[in-house]
Amino acid sequence: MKNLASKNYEILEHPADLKIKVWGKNLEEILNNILLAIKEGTRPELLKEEIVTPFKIEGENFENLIFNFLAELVYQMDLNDSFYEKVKIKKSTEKKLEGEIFGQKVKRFTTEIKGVTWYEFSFKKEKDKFILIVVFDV
Amino acid sequence: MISKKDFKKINDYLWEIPKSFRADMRVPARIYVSEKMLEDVFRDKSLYQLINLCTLPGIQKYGIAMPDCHEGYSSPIGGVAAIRISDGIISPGMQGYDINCGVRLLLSEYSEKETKPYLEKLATEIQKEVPSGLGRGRQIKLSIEQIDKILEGGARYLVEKGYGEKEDVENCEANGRLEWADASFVSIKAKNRGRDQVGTLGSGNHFLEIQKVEEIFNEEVAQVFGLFKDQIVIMIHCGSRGLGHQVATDYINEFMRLMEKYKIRVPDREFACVPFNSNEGQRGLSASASAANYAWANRQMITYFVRKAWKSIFGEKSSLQLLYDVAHNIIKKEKYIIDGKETEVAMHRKGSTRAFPPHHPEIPQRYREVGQPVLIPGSMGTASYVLVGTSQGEEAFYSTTHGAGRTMSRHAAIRSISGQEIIKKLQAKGIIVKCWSLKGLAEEAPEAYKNIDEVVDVVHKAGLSKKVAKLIPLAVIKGE
Repeated sequence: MKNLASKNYEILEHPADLKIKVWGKNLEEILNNILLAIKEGTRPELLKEEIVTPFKIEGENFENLIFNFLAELVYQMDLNDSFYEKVKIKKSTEKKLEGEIFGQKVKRFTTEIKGVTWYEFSFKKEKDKFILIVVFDV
Repeated sequence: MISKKDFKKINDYLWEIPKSFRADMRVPARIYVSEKMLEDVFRDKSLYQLINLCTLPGIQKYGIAMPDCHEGYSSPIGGVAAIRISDGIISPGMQGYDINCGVRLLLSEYSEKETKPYLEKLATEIQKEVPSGLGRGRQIKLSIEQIDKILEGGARYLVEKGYGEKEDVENCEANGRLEWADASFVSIKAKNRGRDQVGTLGSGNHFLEIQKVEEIFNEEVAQVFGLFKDQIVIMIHCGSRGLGHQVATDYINEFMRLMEKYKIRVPDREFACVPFNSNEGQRGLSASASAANYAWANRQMITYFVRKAWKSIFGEKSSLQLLYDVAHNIIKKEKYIIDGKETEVAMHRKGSTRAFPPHHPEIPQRYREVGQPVLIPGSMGTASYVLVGTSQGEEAFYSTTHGAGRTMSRHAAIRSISGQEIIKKLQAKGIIVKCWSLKGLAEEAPEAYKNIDEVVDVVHKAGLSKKVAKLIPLAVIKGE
C-alpha cells in the first residue's frame, strides 16, 4: 500500500466538484503530481494502448500558463479518450511551456472533468516548493 | 461569517440578505428555502457565492438562489441573475461549463402493469442503444460541416433529418434552437470535441430513467400534459458534453483577459465577463447559443435511440411523445417589467429551470392555458417531479429549482457507501440498475443529495411552480 505521507497532493472537500491541492519542488514535479491527483479524482479505467501527445502552451504569466496547461490537458483527455500519467517538459519560460504528455487510452472515466475553473485558483511559490489549488468542474 | 441574523424573513420560504450587507452588492440576495433548510445552506460557501453574484454589473432586483442551491464556482448551483442588456454584462461562468444541461420527459401510453414483464428487457435494450460516452459512444464521427449544422439548427435540424417528430420541436424550450447561434464563433477545438458525442449521456449525475407516475397532484393540468397515474415515462438528463465545456472554457478565458479593457471588477475571477452589447459579448452569446443547440440535438438523438429500443420491445405502432424539454444551465434573452418599464435582460440560470406562466407566448399552444411543464429530476433512485409554471413565478424571473442539490462531496460519498451497496438498496426498492461501472454509482448515492421532496415543496409553497405529478424510478440507466 502506498505510504500516504509520500503523497504530494490532497483532494479537498467541495460539495459538487473536484478540488485539489498539489505541491512539488519544481514545475515538472508539480505538473506530474497534478496528474496523480486527477487520476484519483476521475478514476479512469485504463486500456493497454499508449499515447504520447505534444503540447505548446502560452500564457500571460506563470499562473495563466499553468491554468492553460490544465485546460489543454482536459481537452486532450476528452479528445483522445485518454488519461495522461506523465509530463515531460522540454522548454519552459515564464510565458511558454513546451513538452509531451504520456498516457494510455481509457475505457471510461468514472468522473469526467468538464472544465478547469478560476474559482479559488491559486498557484504560488512558498520557500522551496510550488503549491497549486484548483477546482475542476466535474 | 454569514448567519441567520443577517437574513430578513420575507415569508416562510423566502429569505433576504439586504444590499447593505456588503458594499459591493448592487441588489439584495434572496434565497428560497424553508427555515429548516436554511441551516443546511450555511455548511458550504454557496451564500458567499450568492452575494458575489449580486455584484454583477446590470443585475436587476435580486440575486436569487433556489432551494437546491449548493457551492459551485462563481455563482452557486441554483443561482439566477437577470442582467439588464442595455448596460449589463454577459458571464459564461454564471452559466457553467455544461451549457444547456437539461431534462426531457417522454410519455408512453402504457401503464406499469402492462409493461412490468418487459421492463428488464427494455432497460437492457436502452442501455445497448444509448451510447454512454466513451467506447461505444464514439461509433459515429460527424464532419465539422455537420457539427456546424447542429450548432445552428439544434434539435430542429435532427428532426428535419428524420431523427424525430415535428412535435418534438414544438415541445422543446426555444423549439430546440436559439436563433442567435453562430457556429463561426465556436472554436475548432470545441467542434472537434463534439464530433463523436452527439447522442451520448456522459457521466456524473446524468442519467436515463424509466419511471412511473406515482401520484397526480393536479388532475386538470396533468390531463393537459397527457399524464395519468401509473403511466410509464422516460426521463433523459444530460447536456452539451465536451463541446459545451470547451465553449465555456474558451470564452471564460477570453473574457478574463478583457476585464481590464472594460474596467469591470468581479469578486471571483470565474465570473469573467464583458458588456453584453460589446462585440466580444455578442460573440460569446452566439457561441453559448450554439452549444445550447448542440445540447438539444444531443437529447434529441438520445430520444431517437430510446424510441428505437422502445419499439423493439413494444412494436412499431407504440410511441413515446415528448412532454417537454427544459434547460437548466443557460443564458437567454427574456423581457420583464422592471420598475414599470419593459426591460430586456440576459437571464443567467445556473442550475435553475425556466418556468413560464399560463398564456406566455413562448410556450407551446397545447400548454398555453395552464403554463409551461417544468421537469425536476431527483437524485438516483429517488422521486422526480413534473410541475407547472405560475404567474407568481415572475418574482424569481420565472425560474425554479433544477434538482435535489448536493450536500456531500463525491469523495465523501465514495468513502461512505460502495456502488454494490447502492445497487442492493435500489434493488430492494424494486429498481433495476444498468450501469457500466460500479465506481461512479457511489458518487451519486441518494445520501449525497438533499431531499427532493423537501426541495420541491419549497418551490410549490413559495408559488414559483406548482406540483403536477410525482414520478418514481423503475429502472436507472447511467452513462459512464
